[in-house]
This record gives sequence, structure tokens and C-alpha cells, in this order.
Amino acid sequence: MRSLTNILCVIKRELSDYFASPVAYVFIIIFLALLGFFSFQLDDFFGYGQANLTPFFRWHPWLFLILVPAIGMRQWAEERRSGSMELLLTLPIAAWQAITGKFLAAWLFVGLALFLTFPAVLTVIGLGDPDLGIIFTGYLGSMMVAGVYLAVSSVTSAMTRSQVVSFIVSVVICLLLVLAGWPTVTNMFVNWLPKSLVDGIAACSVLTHYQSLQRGVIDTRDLVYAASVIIFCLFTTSVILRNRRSL
Amino acid sequence: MYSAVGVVAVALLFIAVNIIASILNGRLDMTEEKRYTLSDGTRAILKNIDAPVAIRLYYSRDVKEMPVWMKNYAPRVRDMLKEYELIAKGGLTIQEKNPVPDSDDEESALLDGVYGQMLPDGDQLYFGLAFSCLEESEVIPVLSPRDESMLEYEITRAIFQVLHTEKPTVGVMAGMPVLGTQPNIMMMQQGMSGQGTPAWYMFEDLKKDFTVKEISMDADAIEADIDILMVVHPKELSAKTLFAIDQFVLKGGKLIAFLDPMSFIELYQQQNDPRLRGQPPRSSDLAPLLKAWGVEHRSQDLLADIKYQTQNGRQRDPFILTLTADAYNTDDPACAKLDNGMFVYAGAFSGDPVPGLTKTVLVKSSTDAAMIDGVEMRGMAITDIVKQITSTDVTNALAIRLTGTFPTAFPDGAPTGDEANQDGDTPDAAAEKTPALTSGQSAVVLVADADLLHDAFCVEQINLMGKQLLRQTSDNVAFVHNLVEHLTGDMNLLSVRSLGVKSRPLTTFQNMRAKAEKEYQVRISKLEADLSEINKEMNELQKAKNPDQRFVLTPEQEAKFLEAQRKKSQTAQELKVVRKEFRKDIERLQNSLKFANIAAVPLAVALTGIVVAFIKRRRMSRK
Repeated sequence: MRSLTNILCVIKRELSDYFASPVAYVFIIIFLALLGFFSFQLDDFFGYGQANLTPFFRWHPWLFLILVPAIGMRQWAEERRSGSMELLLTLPIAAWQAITGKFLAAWLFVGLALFLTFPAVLTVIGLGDPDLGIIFTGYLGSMMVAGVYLAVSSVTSAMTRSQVVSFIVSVVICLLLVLAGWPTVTNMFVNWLPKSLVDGIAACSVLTHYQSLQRGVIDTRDLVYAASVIIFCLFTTSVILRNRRSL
Repeated sequence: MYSAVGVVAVALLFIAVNIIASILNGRLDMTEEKRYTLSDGTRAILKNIDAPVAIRLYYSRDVKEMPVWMKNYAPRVRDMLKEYELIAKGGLTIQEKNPVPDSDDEESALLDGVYGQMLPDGDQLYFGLAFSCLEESEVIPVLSPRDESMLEYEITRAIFQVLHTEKPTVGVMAGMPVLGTQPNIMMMQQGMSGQGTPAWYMFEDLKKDFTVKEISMDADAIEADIDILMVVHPKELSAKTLFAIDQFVLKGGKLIAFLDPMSFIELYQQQNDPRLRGQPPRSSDLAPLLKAWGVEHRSQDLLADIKYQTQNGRQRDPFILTLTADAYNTDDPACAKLDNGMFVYAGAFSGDPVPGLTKTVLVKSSTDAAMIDGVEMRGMAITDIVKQITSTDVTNALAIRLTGTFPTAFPDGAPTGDEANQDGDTPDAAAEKTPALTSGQSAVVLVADADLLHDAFCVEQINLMGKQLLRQTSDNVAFVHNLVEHLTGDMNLLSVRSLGVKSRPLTTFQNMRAKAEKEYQVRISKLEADLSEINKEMNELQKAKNPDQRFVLTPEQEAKFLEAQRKKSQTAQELKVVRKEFRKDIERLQNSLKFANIAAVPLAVALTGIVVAFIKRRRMSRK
């Protein structure tokens, strides 16, 4: 299919761009080192005495919060700044293919970073008898969180030329998505919104769905949540780009 | 389409999709134990529902300050109930009610036995389940996330109980106050504690599923309505009682006996109650019966096990066993899914059963264990005991089940003698008694510890939102319950038991610790012994000084003294070194793992990056 090849083309171009500059390497090194440090040293992984990766997965949504928008912010802000946006959009590919391609490329990149955390998995397998199903859904949850953050970054990076603004705004939005389920936030709303609406806001929290996957169950609700957030954000990105283009 | 309106429209669309998804959701359980899938036992019971069962879930949905853990737990309970409904295909109806204050639903909750918990802002939080079928009813008054692993069992058991009104009868013959004691007015008047004690948690738990009757320790007959006889810590039973038990088994009654070489609980009580002091701790046994069945039981010997020893900070006791899954016979339905048991000052069974009987080992020790005589053990230091244990190929059986044809232990019939005569049996009355059985089909479970039944090793009190609740700290309750249930023959309910959060310890470190323990313990105790020798020497030297030479030592004595001092500091130093080495291997492994996880891959990536950059630069410079 034409669209698939186009998308793959975009993905390839994006990924080679990532690795052409030190950005990709720096991101991966920092991500892995910080994650390893937090899980094994700070959180005293071995002190728990259990063969599971809970102390490890606990950090993902928070580390991603800072690092993933840093990848996502480059999606569109860079193009607009360097002027290559116009070039991109005159190529014989549809806007949605470009958007999807860029998003998938960033997602695959984070996937690669996650894959490189394999020493943690080997560690628990070597030291005990972990539940591999839970580890699998843990990584799935992690990818989901990354996907949601990236989708949000896609929108914010399309809105502005400045990567810094894109970064800050997307971190804030992602933070809100995380905190939506937290009592302090919901308690604020509970006093002047009907309960069902407050529950609805809580259901938007990325953390609830992440924790659900951490338990070892793949629930369609979590998949639907992730898919709808991502598709909605990508759609919004295309709306923004289209409107920007016509200016 | 491609405007702000379009965006809002799409947003609303997706919100709708999510709402639909939350109602019609599907799940894939990826956990190894299928923790979130209903087990086969539940399915079997649900498919056999023959009368309408109604379940009412009381949940205070609209409470403003819903605690976080409750908010996350309630949907999971709902999900599980939904699955029950699906599988029961109409046999089960589930209603959710919201007990708002002063509503009909609240009244219904209180009638059903579901009570609310007070929240900090004054609201009442209800979260409980009520079950009913025809006239039978059951209730789980409070659903707590701490018991999530038992939730399926609790629900299935409640359903099972409202469907089946007959409960088997368990007769308890106990040498310890397991069923509680009545308040003693006289003792209270004398100023002593005579308040009476409540029944042990284990037995309260049994009462939920069985009719529990107390049987006296010197009964001479077991009533006909007793289905299972539970004998706990029987100390020196009379011949006629043993005969009664013998005949009970041969008639087909099931027996479960807890025989203890030394009761930890009694020992503890002796130390705290001056009136009980001076009494030697007695061990329990069913000697004639065991002998007839081919079971060897040294009633005074305790089991010391290095692998399962319990550690509390720096102290450890190889006689207090914390068992893991590999101690249990997980192929046996009574022991499946058990992985955290406590046996305290336990004995063991050995020997081959007589022909006609099959022995199944239910719980076994590790290979790093040995039997130590109870009297000797009380004077020995832990390190000496550990020294006595060598790694063998043999394990010791802590609990066994015998099934098949049991021979009588009283081939000559009912025991006559002083006891029989004291009962006032006339020769005529004795002749009217039915002839004694000589054999019979049955099943008997023998457990080499009675302390495991006590609250101290089964539950702990926790304070949950103002209410004192009991939480199980080991699988002992599940273990005993399983044994009794298995004897009654209800397999479905059994297979649902204890879908516990399986503990998955870092076994590599555990094994390393056990190995280091053995190696270094020998050296440490030798060095400690050397140290005490040297100290003794030094004391002797002090004493050997001539009285009028109190402040002056002869040159030889002085030399000896200095020598002893030097040896002492040297030995102390060695001891420190060996203690450090003890943990060295484990720490080394941990540090290399930390390095592998924190730095290894990042370094590799950095290296790759540098190489790639280098190659590119060369390519560029060539152009």
C-alpha cells in the first residue's frame, strides 16, 4: 500500500535523523543510567528480596515525563524552525502519513530504549523465578505511557516553533494527565463538579491505566484509552498543521 | 472538519468510546498463576448452581473523600462479580446498592450484616457483599484490598455455603484451649485473671465451614455424628480414649492429629505464668495407634532446619521453620498454592506404613535438617545445633496422610483394667457392648506440630480505618483448612483456596546465604570458642598470682599475660574478618549486578555513538 510505504519512509528518515546527532545517544544513556540508578541503588531493589520488576517499573511514568517530551518536541518544532516543514509537506505524501510516521518513529525509538533495559529482566530471571507475564504487561504499560506522552508532544510541537515552549507545555499536560487520578486534584473538583464528571476526569489519568497493566492484566479499557488519546492527539496535530499551513 | 469544532467533536467521540469500553470490557490475564481469572473450582461450583443465588454489593459510590485504595479496589471487585455472573449463566443475580444515609439501601445493608466504616469527614463508607439463597444467607461485611488474594475464595465459599446447608461436623479434642475458655468467676474473685479466652482464629475460621463440637480429652467414645475428629496435642491419653479414636477411624471417621514434641506456646505460657512453672513441657503422641499403622514418631525429638530457619534481625532459630512452596507437596490438592507456612518446635514422622495403607507426604523439611532431642536442645547454643546439621539426601516428613485399610491398635478388643472398672462398668454391661472392629477404610492426617494452630503464627492484628481486623501472616490457616476440607471430600471449593500473591524470593541470594552460613558458622564458632579459652586463661593467670605479689608479676607470668593478650586481639580481629567475608560474596554479586544495570548498556551505547561518529567523520573527510 502506498500509505504504508510512505509511513515507513518517514519513519526511516526520522530514525536516521535521531541517530545522526548525539541526541539519541544522550537520551538513551541518560534514560538507562537514571532508571538503573533509581531502581537499583536509590530504591534498594535487592532489599525487597522479590523477583519482580516493581521497583523498576515504578519510575517509568516519572522519568518519561521529563525525557519523552524531549524527544517528542522535535517532531514538528524542528521542522518549522529550520523551514523544512514546507519541503516536507510538498512531498507526495499525505499530511496524516507524515504525522503518523513521525509519531511511530519516536515511539519506536522509546521502544528501543526500553528494550535496552534487558539487563534488569535478565537479573531477576537469574536470581529467582519471576512472573514473566507481569513483566511483559509492565513493558506494555510503559510503551503505552510513552505513546500517550509522545502524542501530547506531537500536538504541542505542532503549535509552536520553539522547542522549549513545546517541551514545557507538553510536560505540564502530561503531568496533568498523571495527576488527574490523584486525590489532591480530584478533591479540588469534587466540591464544584458532579461526582460522575470527577470520576470521568480520574478515568483520564494515565497512571490508573498504567497501574492496571502493571498488575498483569491486559484490559481492553486500557488499550482503548491509549488508542483514543493517541489518535485524538494525532488528529489534533493534523488540524493544527493544516491551519498553520494556510496562514 | 478540520477546525476547532472538529477537534471537539472527535474528543467527544472518543470520550463516548471510552465510556462504552468501560462497560463492555474484555480482559487477558497474563499472570503466571492466572491471578485475575476465576479458577476451575469456582467455575465448577457456579455451573452446578441448582437454586437461585442473589448477591448484593453494597458500595458507597458517592462518598466525597473516597480513599484511594478503595477507589482502585472497588472496580476490581465489580469486575470479578461480573465474571461470576457471566459464568453462572442466570444462576446468579448481582445487584449493586448504594447505601446513602437514611436510604432503603442502607437499611438493607445493615439487615444483611454489612456495616459501614467512618471516614475522616464523617461519611459512612460501605463496601461489603451479602449472599442469599432461599433461606440461607452469608455475608462478607467489609471488603478489604489486603484480602484481595482471598476474594475469589471468599465469594465462592459464600455461594457454596448458601447452596449447601449441611456442614460437616468436626469434633475437636484438644490439649490446649483452642476453642476458648469460659470466664472463671472464682478466679476473678480471687483477683487472678479468669476472664476466659476467645477461641483461636484457626478454629473460628473452621466454624465458618463446619459445625465444631468440643470433645473431652478422656472421652471413651466418639459420637456418631462426628465426621472428622481433630486431635490437638494429646498428652498421655488414656487407653480407653485411644481405643475410642481407634474405633472411630476404623468405622470410617476421618482423623487429623496434631502431635507436638514440645509446645512453644505452653513453654511461653509457663515462662509468663508463675503458677505453671516447674511443670515440664509435655510432648504429645498417639503412640499405640501410630505403631499399629506403621508410623515412627519420636515424640521427644525436634526438627532443626537450616534452610527454613526463621530470622529476626541478627537472631535466628532453626527450630522455628518458615516454610516456602518447596516444602509442600504441591501436587496434592490440600497443599496446592501454599507457600508460606510456619511450623514451630515441630517433630517428624518416618517409617513405612503397614500393608494396606498408603502414605502421602504433605509437608517435608529440607535436606539441611536434623532431629535433635528435646531435652538436649534446651541447653544448646544455636551455633552448636547448626554444627550438628549436615547436608544429607534425606528429608523429614512434617505432615503425612495415610489412606486405605487401617488395622486396629487393640487386637484384644476394648481395654479392660482399672479405668474400665472405675467407670462402674459391670461385667454384664461390658458384654453388651458391640464387638470391636479390627480394621476399616479411612483417611488420617498427621501433623508434627500443634503450635502452628495458634494465633501467633497465623494472624496479626491490623488497624484498618479505625477497625481492628485480623490479617493472615502465613498459610497455616489455609493449610489446616485445606486438610480438613480435603478430608470431607469437597474438591471444588478446595481448588479455589488461597490464590495467594505468591512470594517470589530472590532464591539465588537465599541459597548463597545458606551456604555461607554453613561455611562460616563453623569458623566463627571455632574462633569464638578460642576466644573464650583465652579469656579463661587470662583469668587463671590473674588468680595464679601470689597473694603478696599482688601488683608485681614474675617475668614468666608477665610474658604469658602479654602473649594471651596478643592472641586475644588477633582472634578478635580474625572474627571480624570472617564475619565480613560472610557477606562478601553476596555483596559482590549485588554490586556487579548494579553495575550491569546502571552502567553497562549506557557505556556500550556511548561507545557505539563514538564509533559511529568516528566513522562518519572519516567518511566526510574523505569526500
